[in-house]
Amino acid sequence: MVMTIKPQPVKSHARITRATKPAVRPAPEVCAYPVRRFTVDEYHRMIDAGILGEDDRVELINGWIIATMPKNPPHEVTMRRTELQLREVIPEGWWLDIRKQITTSVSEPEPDFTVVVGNPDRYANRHPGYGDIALVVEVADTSVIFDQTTRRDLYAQTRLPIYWIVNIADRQVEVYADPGGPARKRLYRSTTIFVPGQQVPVVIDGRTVGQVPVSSLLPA
Amino acid sequence: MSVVVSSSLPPPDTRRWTLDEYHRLIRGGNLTEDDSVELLEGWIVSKMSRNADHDLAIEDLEDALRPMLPAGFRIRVQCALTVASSESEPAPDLIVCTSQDGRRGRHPEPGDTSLVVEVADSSLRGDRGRKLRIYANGGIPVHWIVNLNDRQVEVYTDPTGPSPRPKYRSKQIYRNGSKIPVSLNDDELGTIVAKSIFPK
Repeated sequence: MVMTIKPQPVKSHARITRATKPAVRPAPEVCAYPVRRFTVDEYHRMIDAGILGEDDRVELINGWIIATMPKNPPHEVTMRRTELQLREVIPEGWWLDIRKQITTSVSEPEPDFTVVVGNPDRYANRHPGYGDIALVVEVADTSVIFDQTTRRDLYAQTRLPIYWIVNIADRQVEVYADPGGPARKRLYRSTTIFVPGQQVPVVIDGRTVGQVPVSSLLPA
Repeated sequence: MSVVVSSSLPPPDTRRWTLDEYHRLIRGGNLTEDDSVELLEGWIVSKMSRNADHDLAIEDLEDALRPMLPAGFRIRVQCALTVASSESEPAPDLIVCTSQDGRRGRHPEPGDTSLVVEVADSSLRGDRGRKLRIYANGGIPVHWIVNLNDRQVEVYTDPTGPSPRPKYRSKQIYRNGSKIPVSLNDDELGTIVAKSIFPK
């Protein structure tokens, strides 16, 4: 299927530009203990037993159960902008998941966006995993270091083909691609940075299906 | 398959557990006897492996304490101690607590416990800082750190109890031939010579 991509006009936000200070949030609780890690199986049993409930906003990352951080308005507006842009270009046969779990061998992260193959019923009994996923996207402000290190290593290890960080703090989109290398030390072998004025190619299953202007993703 | 892990310490915002959740994890089989873990200030923590001198010091101390104990007191070695005020359930190296009448179905708590001892070598910093904080928070009256590296016994007394910065207000150090007083609820039972606890 051929998609025509309409260029997005760059809107003027002059009237709504206020000093948008990120909401003040408590410093993350840094733990210096060697915390026990849990397997995906154990994690699922905790969910099934109701010990981890729906109120728990958590992810399993490399065996650690991590509270997902509360999001501030710049993060949420970037989420909305990114959703709008991705929905425009994702071809038929692919699905945009927003903050839905994916399963890897030792983790169950919840990316901000995941482009997965097929219709939702494909995932009736399991979460999407390696082989289902074309693109993962994280919107990052305060979490940027974690997203550029632990999370990037995890996605590379899982061989998710392309990982974007929409980096609000540095006003850029980082595109990590081509995961590979020795089995236990896979890395993204390609890193490309896009800044406002540039367009990020959206590549699904090896095919460029559209372009997204960086300035259409970041808050004004 | 395992993954590349950047660090052995958990990332910020690692989920903390309440004592109740921790007990449900144990009852639900999520944490089993094979799991060597403690709950420390809400975090489920793997216990450190111990070296021979560490365990020998516990044995020597146990031998020295046992003859002094009046009826109604017990020694427990590396068993769980519930400190509800800081969402903790550590397994101290040794505690002296009242015997178990009246506490079937639960672990000893600070109110049952007169003395808590940690033997420390490689884990000294952790024990000094964090576990001391937990014991002081619970108000356990006397805490000893048997410091194998410096061959000294540090005796901490007068805990603050629950507080934003729990600590023991008094600290005494015993080395070589100096005699460590052993007291239970303000009754002095006897003394132990410091160097007798340390491997020759």
